[in-house]
Amino acid sequence: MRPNPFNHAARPLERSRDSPLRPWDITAHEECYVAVDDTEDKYMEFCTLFEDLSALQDAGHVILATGGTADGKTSLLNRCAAALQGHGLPVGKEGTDPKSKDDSPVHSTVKIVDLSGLRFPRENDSTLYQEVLNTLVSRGMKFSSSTEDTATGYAALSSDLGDMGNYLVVLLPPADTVERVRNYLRFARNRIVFMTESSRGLLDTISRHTRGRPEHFADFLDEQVGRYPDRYLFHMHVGPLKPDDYWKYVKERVEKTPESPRINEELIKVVRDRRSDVTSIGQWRKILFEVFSRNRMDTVDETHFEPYLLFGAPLWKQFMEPEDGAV
Amino acid sequence: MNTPVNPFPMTPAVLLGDFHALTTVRTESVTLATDYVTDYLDYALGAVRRAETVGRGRCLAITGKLGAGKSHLLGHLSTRLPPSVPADPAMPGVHAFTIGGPFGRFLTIYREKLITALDREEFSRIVQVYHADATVRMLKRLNASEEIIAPVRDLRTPSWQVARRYHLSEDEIRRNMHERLREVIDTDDLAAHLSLLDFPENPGAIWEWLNCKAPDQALIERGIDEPIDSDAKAFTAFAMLTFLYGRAGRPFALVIDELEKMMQETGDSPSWHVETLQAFERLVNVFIDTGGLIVLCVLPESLRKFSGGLYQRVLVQPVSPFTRADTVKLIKEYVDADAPVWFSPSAMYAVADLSDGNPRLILDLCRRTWDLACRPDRRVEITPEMVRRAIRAKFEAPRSSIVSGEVRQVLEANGWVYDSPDEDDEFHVPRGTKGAAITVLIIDSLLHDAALNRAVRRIEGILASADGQEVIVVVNGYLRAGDRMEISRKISRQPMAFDHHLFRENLQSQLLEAHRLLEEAGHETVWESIRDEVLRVGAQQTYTQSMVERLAADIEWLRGPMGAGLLSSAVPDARERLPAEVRGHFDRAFRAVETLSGVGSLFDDTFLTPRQGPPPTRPRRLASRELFESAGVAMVFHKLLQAFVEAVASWLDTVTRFPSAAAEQQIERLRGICHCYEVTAEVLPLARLAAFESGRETTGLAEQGARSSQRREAVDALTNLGLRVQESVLAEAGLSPLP
Repeated sequence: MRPNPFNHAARPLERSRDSPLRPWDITAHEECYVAVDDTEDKYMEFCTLFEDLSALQDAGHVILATGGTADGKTSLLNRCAAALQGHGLPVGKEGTDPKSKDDSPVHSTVKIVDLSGLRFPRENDSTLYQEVLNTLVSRGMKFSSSTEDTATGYAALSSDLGDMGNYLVVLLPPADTVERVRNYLRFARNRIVFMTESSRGLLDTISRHTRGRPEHFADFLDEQVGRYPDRYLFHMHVGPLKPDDYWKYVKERVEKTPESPRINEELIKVVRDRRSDVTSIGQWRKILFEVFSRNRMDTVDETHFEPYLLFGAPLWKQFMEPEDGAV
Repeated sequence: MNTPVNPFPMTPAVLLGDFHALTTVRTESVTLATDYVTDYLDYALGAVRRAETVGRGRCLAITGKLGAGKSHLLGHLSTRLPPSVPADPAMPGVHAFTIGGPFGRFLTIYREKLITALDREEFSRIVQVYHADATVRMLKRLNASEEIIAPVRDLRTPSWQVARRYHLSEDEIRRNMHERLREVIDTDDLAAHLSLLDFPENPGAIWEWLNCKAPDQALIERGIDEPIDSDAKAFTAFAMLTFLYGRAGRPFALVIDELEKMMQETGDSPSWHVETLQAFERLVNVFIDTGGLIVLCVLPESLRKFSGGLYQRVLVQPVSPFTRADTVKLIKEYVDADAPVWFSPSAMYAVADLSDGNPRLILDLCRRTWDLACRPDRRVEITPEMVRRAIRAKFEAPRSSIVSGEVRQVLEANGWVYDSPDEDDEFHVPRGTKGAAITVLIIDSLLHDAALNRAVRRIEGILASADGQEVIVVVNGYLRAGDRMEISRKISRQPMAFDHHLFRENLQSQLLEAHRLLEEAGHETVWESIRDEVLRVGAQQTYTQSMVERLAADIEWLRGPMGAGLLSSAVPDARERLPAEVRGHFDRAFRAVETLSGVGSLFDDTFLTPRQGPPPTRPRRLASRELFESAGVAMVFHKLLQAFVEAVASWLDTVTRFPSAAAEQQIERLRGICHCYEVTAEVLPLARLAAFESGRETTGLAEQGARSSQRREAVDALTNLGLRVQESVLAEAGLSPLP
């Protein structure tokens, strides 16, 4: 069976298809990024701002990614987290390379706590704080932090991190409201970075107030979340795909994957034009992944894309089958 | 031998909830309305089950006087409707709601009866219908094959599953939903609310909000920042649900008894909430547009309050009066053939004729007649004479002097100088010097032609006595509809039934109207008219002054020797001495008098010139008789309140100074003060204040709404003030009220 260029490496028992890229956890994922829409520019902007950890020492940060469904917000945030992690000093076993290419967890003075898949009760920031603390403690870290008040708790945590020479990146669940972003910024302290993405509701809210113009999103958010002398909100907007991105993504992934089936640009243009609703990188990758999952295929042609072009009902039968069997 | 049980209901009024226990005589109205509803249901259910659009809905207004059988007919129709919770949730149908009973405000109805009849799972299913519709639209745009589209359109395959399998854009599907809803909804409010349905992060939030909970933060950021806490908001929310369910093939059927209760500003107030009426009209439009059915009961005079647009969309069906045959059928439903009391055919006809076919009155008369006639030891036949005795007992005041006393008080209180009648049933109010007069004539029930003829002869005699005669007839008892018309023709106005409710106000307005007619007909010269009016206003003020003095004397007596001069300038001090809660009652009352009279703000904008356009060529009239009367009443009311404040403050001083005095005596004294206020306030025409304020020029519906709300608050503040003050003062003084 030929390798699928749109498959991502995964941890055991993990379903890779729908998971965003996570290079801070699986270093191989770093190779999977392709510069589509404005994502690369945003990432470079982030790297410029955080070229080392000095920016984190005296300020708290909230990194917010906005964009439509499956536009790559999570993957971008994970890449940013990986970049910060890369700036950290290696810890643990002497000589461990933080950018090790094996899939073992990277040890760094930048601690990453991933809570992005969790859902917290509304108005309950203390639960979230407790979860952060528990995760760090479970990794063997000791804190003097108080849990009585969330803001005080984060301040104490910040102080402890300073004492230990560590930094903390918390990957948060999607933010539903501006108020939630405001709260994150309220809690952010030196050496603590909160990373979150917009939910659909939040994106609607921001779009409504800015007439849907992404270039005004940052101003609106600045105005809404307030300003602090020692805390900053960094905003990145991603998506949708531009017309050339469809082929660019396919070409780059196929070229990077040895023995991948061949495919031509004209076919991709046909599919793109036919499926004009596919505007996000996530949607596009899922379709490509399924097409390239077929056995015994040297070249991909239009027949392979037929189900996704909505002809006939070839996928119909699969509704009756368990989803896992489709892959 | 035991007294046989009277089979007729004690209170012949229908509550929709316990309708099943009642019997229905199939009158022409019942047949027509039943056919109408059955026809709708056949058509709607057929369409729903064929998964077709129901098309236009219907609104049926059943109208008739009190007791005409509207609620009964509504109850009968309700039994035809399917249950609100269908036996088989999978089988689509019509969602039926019945509103009746002691609910009043629409917000309460919505919270207690409407939203609770829906469930969250079904709501989610309904939302799914819209998702499927949006998915189909998208598939069509992408030129998908019919084999893919059809199962989604027919809801055979969940649309979300198809969307996921083909990796369709959820964002676009949701945009489609919004656009679709915006296409079919012409109301911004509704569209804004419906856009919330697309709310994947917290699907329960919208349902919670619909259940009148405070909106979730996410809803707040999307423009829904208040809970459903007013009638207007409840109407909007219910309209949204009606729309959603109706368009999804589950049309609503709504049965409303006594629409007036839902619309009235307060209690029995004749004025309706402007906002509530507008919201109701919008709801009716949504029902009709989404294939729903509204059946409502409304008094004939209330139909005038509907806008032209609403009136055109409503089928009005008057409830026909019971015929003699219907009446016989109804009575026989209650009385067995071998009952100890039986109605002769002529008695049953008498019941039908005297009641004008009003079924509530029929049953009431039957019950009273039964009680009059029933003997434990023998079987009795009811005669027409017994029926007439029963109707007199029901409608006539126990003593005719009560009625003449009321008439006399109205004349004196309003300054009408009258000749004392010998018979105490005829009051002449001379106008001018040429014999013109207004006569108030009191007559008893007219239950047969001979009585009618006698009354007509008296009226004709008065009218023929001199030129310029106006007659006001006050009926102490009952008038048949035909007799009412006959008398109306003679005196060119409706005869007045004597009742305690608004009688004084109505009589005074008839007197003023009669006076105006005489004036216009030239039976008084200008100078005579002015002289009469000056005399009348003088007499009125004398009466009012004596009333205030009496009140002053009463309170002075209640305060005893410790009291200072009444109506003194020390009122602010007295007010300061009151506990906060009691002071609050009074402050509210003072504000109310000012609001109602409108005198405080009367000339505020008189001398303002318009910002745009030329100045008005004709100056506005700055004052009117209504204004003077209103100002007079306001002044007296103000003085009365001041006196009341002073009396209550003195009472509290005494209680504080002599705590050992017998509590019962203290409480009794306070009760005397409060009662004294109430009886005096009762004779002051509060309605005149409200009428003057409501008659002021308004610029728009919003202002009307605001005024209406202010008026409501003001009337509330003055109603039962004595009682509220008494309760608060006793609570403050730590005394228990007397039993």
